[in-house]
Amino acid sequence: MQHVKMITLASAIALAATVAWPQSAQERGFAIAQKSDLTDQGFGQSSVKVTMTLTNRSGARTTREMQIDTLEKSGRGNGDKSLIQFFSPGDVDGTALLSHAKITAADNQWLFLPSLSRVKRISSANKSGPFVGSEFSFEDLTISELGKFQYSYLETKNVDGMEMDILECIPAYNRSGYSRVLCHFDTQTNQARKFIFFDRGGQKLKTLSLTNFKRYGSVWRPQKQTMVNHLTGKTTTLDFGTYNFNAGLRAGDFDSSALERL
Amino acid sequence: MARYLHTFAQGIAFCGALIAHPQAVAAQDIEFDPELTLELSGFPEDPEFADQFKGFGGALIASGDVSWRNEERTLQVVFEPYLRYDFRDDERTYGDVRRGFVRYFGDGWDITVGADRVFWGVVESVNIVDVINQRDGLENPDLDEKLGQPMLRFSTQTGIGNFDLYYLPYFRERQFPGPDSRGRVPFPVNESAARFERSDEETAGDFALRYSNTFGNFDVGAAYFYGTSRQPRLDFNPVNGTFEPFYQKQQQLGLDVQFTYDAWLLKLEAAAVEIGDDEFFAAVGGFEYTLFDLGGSGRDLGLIFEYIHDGRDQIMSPATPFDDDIFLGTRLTWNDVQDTELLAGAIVDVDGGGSQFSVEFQRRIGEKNLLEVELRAVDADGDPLLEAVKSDTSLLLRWSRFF
Repeated sequence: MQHVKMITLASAIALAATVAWPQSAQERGFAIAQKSDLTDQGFGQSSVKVTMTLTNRSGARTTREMQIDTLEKSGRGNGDKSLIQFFSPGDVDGTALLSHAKITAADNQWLFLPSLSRVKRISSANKSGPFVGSEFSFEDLTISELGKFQYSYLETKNVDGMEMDILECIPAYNRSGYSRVLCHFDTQTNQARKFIFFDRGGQKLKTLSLTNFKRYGSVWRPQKQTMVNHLTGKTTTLDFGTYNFNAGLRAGDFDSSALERL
Repeated sequence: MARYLHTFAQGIAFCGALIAHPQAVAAQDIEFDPELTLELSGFPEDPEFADQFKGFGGALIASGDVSWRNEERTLQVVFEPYLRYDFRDDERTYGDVRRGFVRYFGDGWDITVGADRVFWGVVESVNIVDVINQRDGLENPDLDEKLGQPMLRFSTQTGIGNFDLYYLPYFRERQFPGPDSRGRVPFPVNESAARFERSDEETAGDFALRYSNTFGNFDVGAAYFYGTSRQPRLDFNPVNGTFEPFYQKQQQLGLDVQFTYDAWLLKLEAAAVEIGDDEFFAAVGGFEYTLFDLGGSGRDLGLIFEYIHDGRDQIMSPATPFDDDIFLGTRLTWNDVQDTELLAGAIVDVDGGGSQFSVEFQRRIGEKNLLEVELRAVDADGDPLLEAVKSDTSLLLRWSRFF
C-alpha cells in the first residue's frame, strides 16, 4: 500500500512538471504577486525625498516635504523598516515616524516629537486611518508587501495602454479599512501599477496609480504616486526625488533610540 | 545673566567650528528653520496679590534651529536659540540656548558635547523619571519647557540594549517669574540668595546612566542619577518676606515601562528618590486608550487616566502639589490637513486638595502659521500651593509664524 502511494505521488510530480497543470486562480494570483515582489528583492536600503501634495475638491493645495528611509525586510512576517522625517509645514518640521512593519499584525511604531525631544511608542492598531491628513492611509504606504493579501487572479487586459494582470486582493490584516483591492501588475516588468480600493461596505473608495517608473540597477521605483478618493474628490500625490540606495544607513538608524538624534 | 554665558559660549564654540572648517560645510546642507511667535494672555479675575498685573499680558518669542550634518552622516551640529520678550514682566524677558551641540557618530555609538534637551519617561501628567534638564519656570506654569543642559554624553547601542552615560558639568538654576507676573508662588523669589547643599554649587557636576530597550510590546528604560535637584526647596525668609531657593543633593533610581497592545498603552514610571535627607518613593501609572476613526469621521479620541503618588516629605524636600492625584485627559485628533488637535486634562487631588484644569487647542492656518489656544483654571480647595494661583484663570492665544 505504501508503495502504491509513493508511486502515485511520484507520477503526479512527474506529470505536473511536464504538463501545464491547471493552476487555481489563487495560485496564479499569488505567483504574480510573488514575481512582482521578487523584482524588488535585494535593494537593501534606500533614502528618498518626497513632496506630498494634497488637493481638495475645490482645487486648493497644500504640500508637505518629507524623507523616507527604508531598510529591507529580514525574516518571515516582517515587512521593511521605515523612517519618515517631516520637514514642512514648519510646525511639524523635525517630527519623525519610525515603523517596524509586520505583514498581518499591527506594526511597531514610534513617533518623535521635536519640541519635547520625546520619543513615544504609539498604537498602530489603526492602519486604515488617514496618514498626515492625506488620502493615503498607513496601510497604503506598504501596499506592495507580499503576504498582505490573499491573491486571486481575475483577468489579463489592456489598462492605461499596458497589458496588466488584474488580481483580486483580500486584506489578510483583519483591521484593514478595505474589503477588497483590485491589484494591477504590468505583464512586462511585473511592477504594481494601479490599486482600486473598495471600502468595508463594498463601495469603490479610492484609486492609487503608480507612474513615471524609473529603473535603478535591478529594481524599479515609481517616481509618482497619485491617490484619488472617489467619495470626497480629494487627491494626494507623492512626488519622489532620486532614490539613494547607498545612503550609508545602518540597522541602528532604525532603532527607536536613534529618533532623538536625527 | 551670567548663568547664560556658559551655554552661549557653547553656541559660539559651534560657530567657531563652522568658521574653522568652512570647506566641510556646504551651504546647501545647512538647515535653518526660524519661527516667530506672538503670545497674548488674558486674566479675567482680579489678581491675588497687589503687585500682580490685571487684564492682559503678552510676549514676542523668536526661536528656531540651525542644523547641519556632513555627507558621511558622522558629524552633526545643532544650534537652537530661544528669545522671549515679555510686555508685562521684565523677569520673563530672557534668552536661552535650548540646544547647541556637536555630535559625532561612530559605529553603534555617538558622543555629544554641548547643551541639549533630553526626555525620559512614558506618562503624560508628571514625568518623575525625567531629571536631566532644568525646567523653564518662565515659559508656562506646566513646566514642560526645558532649559538647555550642558552635557557630555556617550551613547551606545549594543545587543542587550542602549546605554547612555551623561556628565553634566554645569547646573542651571530654576528661573521664577517676577512679582508682577500672574501664576506665581505667594512670595517673591530671591534668586540671588540661592543656596546649594553641594559645596561646588553650579559646578559640582551631575552624573547619569540610562539603559533602554524594546522587548516586543514592552519599551523599558532604567536610569540612575546623582547630582543636584533641579527643583529647589523654597525656604521662606521672614525678614525680607521672600522665598530663597535651596538646591539639594539628589540621587534617584528610576524605571519607566510602556506596554503597547492594540489601541492600549499601559504606562508606569517609578523612582526611588533621595533629596537631601529625605528618602521616598514616587510612581505614576495608568493608561492611554485610543478610539480610532470615531463614528467613521476619521477623528481619533484618546482617553488618558493616570494615578500619581509621591511620598516625599513636603517640608524637607521641594514641595509638590502632585502627591496623591488622579490625571484624567482626553485628546481629540482630527487627522485633517491642518493637524487640528484638542487636549483637555484635569489633575485632581484624591485626598481633598485642589485641582487643575486645562484645555489646549491647536490648528495650522495656511501652510506657515500655527494657532494655539489654551485655557487654564485652578480650584485651590485649601491646597497651600494652589491658593496663590487660584485667581489666575487664563486664556492664552499663541500665533506662530514659520519661515
